[in-house]
Amino acid sequence: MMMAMAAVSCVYPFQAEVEGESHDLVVEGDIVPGDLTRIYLRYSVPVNAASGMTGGVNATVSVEDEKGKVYKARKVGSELYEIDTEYASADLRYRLKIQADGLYYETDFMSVTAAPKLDEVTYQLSEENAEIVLSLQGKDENRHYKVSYLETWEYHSDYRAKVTYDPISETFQKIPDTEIFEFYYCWRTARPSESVLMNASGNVTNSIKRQAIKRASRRDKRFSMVYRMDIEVSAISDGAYDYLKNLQQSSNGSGDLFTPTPSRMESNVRCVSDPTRLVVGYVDAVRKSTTRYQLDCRSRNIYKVPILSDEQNLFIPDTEELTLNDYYTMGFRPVDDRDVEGGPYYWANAICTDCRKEGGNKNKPEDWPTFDE
Amino acid sequence: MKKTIIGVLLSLLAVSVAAQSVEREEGDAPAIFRGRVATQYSLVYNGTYLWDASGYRHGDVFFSGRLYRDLDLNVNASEQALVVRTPSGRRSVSPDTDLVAWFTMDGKQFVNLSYYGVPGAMFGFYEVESAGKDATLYRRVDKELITHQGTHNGTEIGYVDPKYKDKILTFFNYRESFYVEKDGMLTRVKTKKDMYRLFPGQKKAIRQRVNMYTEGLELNDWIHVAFDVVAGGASTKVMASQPFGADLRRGGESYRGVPGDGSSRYEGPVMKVLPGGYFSDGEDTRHSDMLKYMQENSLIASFRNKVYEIGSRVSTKKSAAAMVKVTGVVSDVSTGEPLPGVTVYDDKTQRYAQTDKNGVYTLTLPLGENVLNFSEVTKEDMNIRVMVNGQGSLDIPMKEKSTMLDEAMISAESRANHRTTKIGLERVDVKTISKIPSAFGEGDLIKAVLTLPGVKSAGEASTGFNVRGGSTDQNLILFNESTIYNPSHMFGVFSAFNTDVIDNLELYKSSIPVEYGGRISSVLDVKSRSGNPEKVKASLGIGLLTSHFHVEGPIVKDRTTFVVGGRTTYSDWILKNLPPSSGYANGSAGFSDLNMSVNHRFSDRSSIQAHGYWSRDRFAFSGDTTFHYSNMNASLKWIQKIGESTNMTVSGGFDMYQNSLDDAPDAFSAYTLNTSIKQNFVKMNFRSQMGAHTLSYGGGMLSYALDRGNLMPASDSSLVAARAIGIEKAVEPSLYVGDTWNMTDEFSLDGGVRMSSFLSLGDPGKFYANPEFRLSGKYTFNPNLSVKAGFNSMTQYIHLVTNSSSISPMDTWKLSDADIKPQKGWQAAAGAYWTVMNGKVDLSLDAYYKRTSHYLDYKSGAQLSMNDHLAEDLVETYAKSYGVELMAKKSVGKLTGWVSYTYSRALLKEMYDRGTATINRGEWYNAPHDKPHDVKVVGNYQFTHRYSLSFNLDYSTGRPVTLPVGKFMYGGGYKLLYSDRNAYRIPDYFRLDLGVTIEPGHYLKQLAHMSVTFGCYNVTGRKNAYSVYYTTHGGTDVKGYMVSVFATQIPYVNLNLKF
Repeated sequence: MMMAMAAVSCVYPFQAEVEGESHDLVVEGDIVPGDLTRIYLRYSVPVNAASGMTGGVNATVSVEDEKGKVYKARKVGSELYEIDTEYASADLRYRLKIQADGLYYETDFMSVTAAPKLDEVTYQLSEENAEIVLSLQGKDENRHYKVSYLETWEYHSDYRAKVTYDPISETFQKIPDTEIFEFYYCWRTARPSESVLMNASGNVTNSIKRQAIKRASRRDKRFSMVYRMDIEVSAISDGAYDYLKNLQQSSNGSGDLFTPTPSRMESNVRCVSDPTRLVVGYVDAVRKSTTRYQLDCRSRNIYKVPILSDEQNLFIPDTEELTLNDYYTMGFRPVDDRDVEGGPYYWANAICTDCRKEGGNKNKPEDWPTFDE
Repeated sequence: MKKTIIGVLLSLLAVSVAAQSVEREEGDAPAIFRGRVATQYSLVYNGTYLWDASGYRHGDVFFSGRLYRDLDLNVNASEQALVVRTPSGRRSVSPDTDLVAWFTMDGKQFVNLSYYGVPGAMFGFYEVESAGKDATLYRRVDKELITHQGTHNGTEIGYVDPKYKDKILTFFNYRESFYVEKDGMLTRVKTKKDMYRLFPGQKKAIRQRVNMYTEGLELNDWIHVAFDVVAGGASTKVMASQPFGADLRRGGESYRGVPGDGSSRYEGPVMKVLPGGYFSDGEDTRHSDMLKYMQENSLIASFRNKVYEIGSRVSTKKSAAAMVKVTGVVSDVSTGEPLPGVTVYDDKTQRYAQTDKNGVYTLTLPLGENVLNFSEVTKEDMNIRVMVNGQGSLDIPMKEKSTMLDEAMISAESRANHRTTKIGLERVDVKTISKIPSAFGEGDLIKAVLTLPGVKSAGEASTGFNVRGGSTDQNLILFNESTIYNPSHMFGVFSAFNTDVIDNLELYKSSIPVEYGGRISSVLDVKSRSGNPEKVKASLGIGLLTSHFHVEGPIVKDRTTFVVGGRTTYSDWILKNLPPSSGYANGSAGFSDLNMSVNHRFSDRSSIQAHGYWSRDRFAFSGDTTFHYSNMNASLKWIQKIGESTNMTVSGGFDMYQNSLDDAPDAFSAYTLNTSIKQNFVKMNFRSQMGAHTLSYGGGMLSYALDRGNLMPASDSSLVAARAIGIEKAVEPSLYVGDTWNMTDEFSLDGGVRMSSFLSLGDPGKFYANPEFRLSGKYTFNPNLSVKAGFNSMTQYIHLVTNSSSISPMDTWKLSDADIKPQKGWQAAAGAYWTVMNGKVDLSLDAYYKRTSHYLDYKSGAQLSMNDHLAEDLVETYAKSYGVELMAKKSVGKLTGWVSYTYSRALLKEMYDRGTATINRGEWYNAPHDKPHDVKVVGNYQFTHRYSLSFNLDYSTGRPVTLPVGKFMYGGGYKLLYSDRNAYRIPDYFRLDLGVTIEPGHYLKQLAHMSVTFGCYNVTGRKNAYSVYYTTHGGTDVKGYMVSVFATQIPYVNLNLKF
């Protein structure tokens, strides 16, 4: 009975038969006076399409200030348009203009929001998770903020391999001391697919205190050695916040009983040549604050060594059952020479012996605080 | 011990299979031989269930208003049923005890005191032991089938049986008791003190008399001696086995009482109505004396099948053609509860009336003899002979319908439906509710409502219901006059109403009476029971998730009663065992509720009721967010009869609905948000009978204090600023008058005007006044065929603003103000009603068309909570709904239930153009509860009195949803592009439930009666979609999912104990 009751509520895959085409212009990016403005243009595709890529948009993009000065964009790649607005004044209002496939799009003139002051970036620990939290103070009347970041971290593989196996000659070779860390230390970068939106509209002031911008398990290798965040924060308009919040919520449905019914909000980019045509995205005019946060996890006892699964554990191959080539083909690699000279040695899954198999690379960022190679 | 238990179980089984069938004697046998076949017991037992262990005795019976002479009789003392041998001698029958006034058996006289309405009398027969001037002494014998170790021959079985079998432990236990009827009251005499209390000041006289006996008297003998002393009684003979009736038959010789003079006769209420001299005169004169008595004397009976006199005889001087008003209250004979919806029909004039919610009816009748028929779907029909002398009242208690009787096949409900002008009125009694299978087995009022045609919901775990295309907030849910804003517990799994204390419900889907207002779509009027006026009763139910109890009984007998009921849950364990994929694995949920009612009758014309209701829910789907909500209601209701034709009802009370959200994602963002609705109300209603017109008029005042949000930081470290939206205040006064005009027997009209108004006390204030109209009519072609049509307009000043599919604790209620106009709506409906298959099946066809304006929907991305400028995030819409409801309903027989099919649509459309932001370009779009096709099958098959099978089948089109039609990359991950609002549908819904109920045996006089209900919800295990949603998994991949709340069979078992 207990088991039956426990299973009464379930979630199943579901594929709806939706009809029609989806080919709306998607505009992503903000006008950033005092910095480079990046605008991405693409079209939406049907939800059941195999890929979300459309190959970009051939468009003419520009930013215009309220005095009539036009900043023209150059196309960089298939989707990106860059506009040199480094010398544009933050005191003026700006609008974005796009001509694409014979249609004209534009926003209203928008005031530039002041960059918030970043007070603090630090970390918080709970039993299982680590959080990077951010505190800031807004300027003017801004109460909404958008945080984006690039994270980089150094990590190493679970085992330091000291031998390699050549399946052709079926021999082992010791790794020279100069190359011993080739597969051991890696660096990895990632940019989250969503910005972090912050709302101080209900707060006493327009400041945010220690709001998490990143949460991960303490067993995540991000926090095993050194973790770095390059953070950009901008204050955004109320309309941008509402739009982006709705976009995030409606794109991450939960089926929860009380979740608001997803809906499509109106973009602030409108098609002036065909007002019935819908546009996706919200463009703001902002100034950004940036900072770098670096966390030496080794000295702060943040990382918890994960319990390795059976597949990750060391083992001595049973050569009576399978050949060493069989093990190699199955994705296992020799690890070290603690066993008899000449093998078969201890073996483990390749992902445990080669840090690159976990998505990292050997491109050590500049100014990285460790001497690892 | 084991043997004892097995014996008891065997006994239960044996009794349960005892003959229950009904047979008819061939030909035109007198009515007394056409009753139920007398119970036969198939098991082996010691003793006898018969009152007289020696067998049948010769006697006469006064049954159903007729005297039957020279019959072979005995009494089943276990069932308190007369046993009559038929003329053929092949079988014995048991006439309905309620219709047996008295009988003689071998010269002894037996009286059915409850027939005569003697206060304190139990069901069954009393043997007249001795009759004095001031009192009568009765003896009663009861026998109970029990199993017990030991030898029981003699005292325990009531006689010495030479064939007694020692190995048989099951026996009929003999119990003898004595009663004294004095001053119209029946009192049991168990001790000498009881006698002294009945006759204070005569202790000395009794002792003197008792001391005349040389040996100490047994209590029974002592009672007889004492009674002779104190009651001016007759018998001086201490002989319990020689009843007084026999002495009476010997005429004056038996009046040897000391100190009584023997010439006097007790003139108490019961003996008064017995044929004068019948027992003392010679046999030849008995019948003529009785007829003479019937013709000449005023036979004021207090139960059925008697000639009721209404009004003073002086008034018979009026013209024979004069018409007078007759009013009264119809109540349940077993509980004393007033019965609404009972049809009272006069055969002579073919006039009819229906009892209102207080059980009151008013009917205009001609002077002279009439036959009134009282009918209600769950009660046995009653035909009452009345002698109308003038204006007066007649209160009628009605008895529970026996589903086994063929005679009960005339459907009272269909009769009522053909006679009323009301369209779309549904009545469900608590018995029906309790037999409809529901998730986790507990009888559920809201789930029962959802089985009715035209009533739908967003899903099986959703709060509220939608009536004929209306939204959930457009239903006025009244519980003892108080408004319930959230009718569900545990996000819709259970209803807020404890069926233990519920008497009945009425749902008005259209033709909403003029007394009700404030909501566009429907009125659900739920009444709790007023409590048993006779004795304390209790029940206890234990289920897998919840337990419930109730206690009811008299505080002052026949005057003041109480009912207390409560429920609680221990449901946390189910959430903790849900799979992580459900999203609720770390959740917790629970609720409690409490009902209290006190009713006091000042007189037959005046009574007062006090009701209280409290409930509280809590649930948390994640560790850092907890919801609470609670309902609290208190009301007082005074019912007063004014003159002979007007009833007044005055009620007032206080309602409160509170929500609370505690959210603590981190210490700096932690907050508590409280919202509430508080309202005070007073209502006054008059109902007057004026010839063919029944006027209803009155008014009411409702005051609101609505707190849309009070946000507070949860701790000192929280950065959240304390903020309050402010309390919205308003008053809603109303006046109304309505008339039901029975123009002819075939044609009736019902019309009324309700002046609805609303004053917002905000800044700026705003006053709205809206006349509402009610009009409906009925034409009856014949007693089995009628058509009806109606129109009603409504106004609503309080709105639920939601952007989720189900009512959520954080939905926002909003009063009309200068920015938000009242919702206005009208509905036109028509129906045809046909009763077929000899009255067993009712067919109905209802059609309706409904329009509403200023219904509130939300803009995309609207912020509904703590929004100072909520109106800016809302849009006003037109709503239209239309549909056809077909239903076949069988209310009598072993198989009861209904099959219905509904085709309906519910659509919305923005009232004003907002350019590209206009929802679905300003076109009509599906309302969230639009489900065009809907099939419902609800049934109950009663195998025997104890065993029944219930089933419930539900099919409907899936509800509308908004689905993604496109996707795109944004910020490094996928995002979704949604369709027009509600452009798609979730998969169709189908569910079959089965339940079996085993009731306790009816004839066992146990302390507690246990019933067991077990069954299965969603027998086919269909994975019905509650919702579908898409996610990008953080931007990496687009997938669609379906949430099924009850994705498998849910077996359940419930244990109910009644005390």
